[in-house]
Amino acid sequence: MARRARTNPHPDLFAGAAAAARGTKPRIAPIARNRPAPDRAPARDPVWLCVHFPSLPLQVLKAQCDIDAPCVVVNDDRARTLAAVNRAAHAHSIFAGHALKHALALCSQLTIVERDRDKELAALTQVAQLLIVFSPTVSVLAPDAVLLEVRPSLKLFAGIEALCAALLAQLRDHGHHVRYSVAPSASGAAWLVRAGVFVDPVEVVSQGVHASGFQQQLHALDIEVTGWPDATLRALREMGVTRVGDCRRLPRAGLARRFGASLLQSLGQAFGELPELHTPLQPPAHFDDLLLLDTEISAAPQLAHGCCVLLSRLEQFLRAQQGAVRVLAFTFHGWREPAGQLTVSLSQPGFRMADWQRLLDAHLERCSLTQPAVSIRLQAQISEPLSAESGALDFASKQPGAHLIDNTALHALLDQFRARLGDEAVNALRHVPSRQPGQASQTSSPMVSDQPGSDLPPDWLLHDVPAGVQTLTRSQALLLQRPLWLLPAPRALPIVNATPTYQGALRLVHGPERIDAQWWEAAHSSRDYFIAENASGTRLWIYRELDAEGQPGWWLHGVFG
Amino acid sequence: MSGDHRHGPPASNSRDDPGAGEPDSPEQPVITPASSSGVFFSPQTAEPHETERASGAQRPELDAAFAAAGLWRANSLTQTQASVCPTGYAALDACLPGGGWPVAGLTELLTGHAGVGELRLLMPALAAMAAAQSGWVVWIGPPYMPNAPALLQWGLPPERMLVIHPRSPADAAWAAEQALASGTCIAVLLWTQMLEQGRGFVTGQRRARLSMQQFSRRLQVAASTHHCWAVALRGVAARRQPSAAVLRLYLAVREGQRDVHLLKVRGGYPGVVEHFDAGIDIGAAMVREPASAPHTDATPNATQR
Repeated sequence: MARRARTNPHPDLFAGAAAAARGTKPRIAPIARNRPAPDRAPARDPVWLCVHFPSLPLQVLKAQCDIDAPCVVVNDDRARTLAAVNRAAHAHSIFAGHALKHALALCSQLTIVERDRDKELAALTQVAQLLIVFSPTVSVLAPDAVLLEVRPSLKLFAGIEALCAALLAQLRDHGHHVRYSVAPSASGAAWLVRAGVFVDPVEVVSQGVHASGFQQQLHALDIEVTGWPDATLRALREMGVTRVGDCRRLPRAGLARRFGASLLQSLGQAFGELPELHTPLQPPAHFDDLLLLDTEISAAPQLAHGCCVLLSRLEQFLRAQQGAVRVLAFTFHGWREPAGQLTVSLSQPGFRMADWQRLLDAHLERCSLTQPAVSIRLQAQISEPLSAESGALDFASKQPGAHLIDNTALHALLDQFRARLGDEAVNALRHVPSRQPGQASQTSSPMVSDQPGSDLPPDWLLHDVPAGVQTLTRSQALLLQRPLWLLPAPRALPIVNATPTYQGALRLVHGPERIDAQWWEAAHSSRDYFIAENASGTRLWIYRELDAEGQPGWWLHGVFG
Repeated sequence: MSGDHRHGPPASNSRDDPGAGEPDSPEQPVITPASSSGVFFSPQTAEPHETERASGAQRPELDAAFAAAGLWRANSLTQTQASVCPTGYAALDACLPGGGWPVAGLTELLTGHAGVGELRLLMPALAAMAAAQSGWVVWIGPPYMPNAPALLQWGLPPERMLVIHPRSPADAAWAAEQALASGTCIAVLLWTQMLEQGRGFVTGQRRARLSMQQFSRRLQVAASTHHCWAVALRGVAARRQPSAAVLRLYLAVREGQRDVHLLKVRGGYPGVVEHFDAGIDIGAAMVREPASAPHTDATPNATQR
C-alpha cells in the first residue's frame, strides 16, 4: 500500500509557508525545533513501527544447536560472514558480522549452522500475523523485520507508548526478543532499528517528519544500515561519505547521475518525503499450526500445556480475523506416524481460549495415544464471523419475566457435560406430534434456541376429554392422561390370577384410551391404554394389543410420577 | 435468583394468580398446577399477609390484634429463605417457610419407589420457574425417561430439559456440582441411587471419598451459593441419615393418597400434609370395557373408586 508520507521535498524551506497555510504561526527559530511546538496542529504523518528480530536466524534453527555450546549461523555469501551467534559464542568475543575464519580462530569448538532463509521468512510471516491485532497494515520486511503503520491504532491503545508496551509483551510471551523503532517513514524506522538507535516515539507521533530527534538520528546513521548495493556503499566510502547526512548534503543532481535515481528515492523515502510501497499482509483463511514439543509425551493429559500454547495462537488469529470456530482438530504426531487425534466441537462458535481450556482437559482425560507424541498440530476453520457479545443492561434484569441467562453460559455447560460424559450421555427431549406414545417423546441433541418454542400442548392432545372428569377444566383433565415417566421400551407384565401385576396386583383406574397406529407407521398396532394403580399407590400406564398378530398380554409403558 | 418480583406468563385458565391477586383477601386462592403460579417473592418484599400465611396463621382477627399490640410470632423471625417459589399446592405452601420451595438450597425428597408422585410434587414449581426464566432443567440419573407430551401438558418446554445419564457416581456428583455452579440452571434434579451404593464415591479436586451424607453438604453449599434449586430424590432408607438439606420431605402413599411428611424444615416445623394432590386425580374413576377385547382372559377386575 502506498503511504504518501510527504510531498514537500524541502520541508525546512517550506515548513513556514505550510504552517501559515494551516493558519498557524510560521516556525522560524531553529532552536524551537528541539521541543514540540504547542500551537501547531498535530501531525498527520504516518507512524511506522519497525520490529527487528536480530536473533531470528538462530531462533529458527534452535533445534540444531545446543544452548550451552558456542554456535554460529553462517550466511551463504562468499565471505561466509556470521548472521547470528548465540550467547556462548558471545562469550568467546564472536559477534554477528564477523567472518567465519575469524570466529574459528577465536573458538575452535564452534557449531556451524547454515542459514535457512525460507524458515526465517516463514517464522517472520507467522510473527507478522500475530501483530495484525496492532495494525491493519502489517508487512514483512525481509530478512528480519516487520513493519506496522500504527497511526490508526493509537487511539485504541491509548497512545504509542502503551501500544509499544503491549506489542513487546505479546512478543515476549511468544518467546521473541526484539528491538523496535518508531519513525514517520518505513525505511527510516527500518534503518534506525538496524542501527540500534532509539527515537522518542511520542515526539514522532506529535511532530511527524519534523521530529527533531528523528531527523538528527537519521542524519547520523552509518550508510551501512541502508541496504544499498555493496558497490554503491564502497564508492560512497571512497568519496568519504560515511553517514546518511553526508549523502543528503551532496548535490542531488550529481548523486543521481553517479548512482542512479533509486538512491535519491531511497533517501527521500527514509526522510518521509516520498511515498513508499509496502504490501500489507493478508492473513490466511484458516488456522493451521504445528508445535514441536521439547520432550516426548506419552500420556495425553500432559499434552494440555502444548495444546494451550496452540490455543492461544489460535485466539490471536481469531481476534485478528474477527472470526469464530466451531471445531478444533488436534493431531498428535509421533516420530514416524500419527499418535492420535482429538476433535473438540463446540455447540456455539467460540474464539476465547478460556472457553476451550476446561473442555480440552476433559477431552484429554479420555484420549489415549498410540505412541509418544513429539508434535501437536492444530487445525481450525473459521466457521462464522465473530458476533459481538451483547451484555444485559442492569435494569433489564430487574424487569419481571426478563431474567434471561446468557446463551453462551448455556452452551458452556453443555460442552462441559459432553466433554466429560460423552455426547450420548447428554440429551434433551423433543416432542414429535405423533399419537403413538413411543414416538411422541424423543431424545435429541440439546440445542440452545434463541426463540423460545411454543409451550402449549399440541392440539391433538386436547381431543377426547373423558366424560368422567367433570370437576376439572378441560385442560387440567388432560394433564393427567399422559405419564411423566416413559419406559424406554414397553415391559411385559406378569399375569397372576388373570390380573397383571407390578409390585402387586394392578387395579384399573381409568380407560381405555384407544390409540390406533396408522397404516404408514412401521409399528402397526392398535392398543388400549389404561391407567392402573398398584398396592403401593404407584399409578401406571399399561396397555394391551388389540390386533390378532400383536403380542398378547399386558404391557407397562409409563409411570405417572 | 434475586429477591424481586417476577411474574410468570398469564395462566391458561381464568383463576387469579395466587399470591398476586388481592393481597387483602383473607381467603386463599385454590392453587392448581395448571395455573402455573409464577410469582416469586422474598420476605423482604412480601406483603404482611403472605408472611403470616406462610407461618400457618389461620386467624386473621388474632393477627390483627397482635399487630395492634406490637406483638409478633416467634417463627416469623426465622424466615431466612432468600427466595422461594410456590409449590402449586396450597396446603403444602402453608407449611413451608416463605410459602414455597426454597429455591436457593437443597431439597431432599424421599420416596419408597420411583413414580409414586414425586414429579407431580415438583412439576408446578418447575413450570412456573421455567416460564419466568431461561435455563436448563437438569435431570441427573433419572430412573426412566421423562415423557415430552406430559411435560408439555404441565407447562415445561421439553427442549430445555437436559437429561444426563452418568456412568459412575463420581460423574453424577460432578455433573450436579457443575450444573449448580454454572448459574444456567433453573433446577437440578439428582437421583441418588447410584451415589448411595457402596462406600461412597471419589469426587472433587482433592479426590476425597464422600458418602451421600457428606455430599449433601456440598450440594447445599453449591445450591445456596449459586442460587439454584437442587433437588435430591432419595430412597426411604435415607430417612435415618442426617442431611444438610434445607428441606427434607418424605412422600408416603397411604390408602391411595399421597401424604407429604416434612422431616426437616429450616425455619419451620416438621409436620404432615395429607393428600397434597387432592385436586388432581389421575384418571377419574371410569373404566369402560373395550367392545372387542381379544384377550378377555387377561382383563383384570376393574374397580370403581
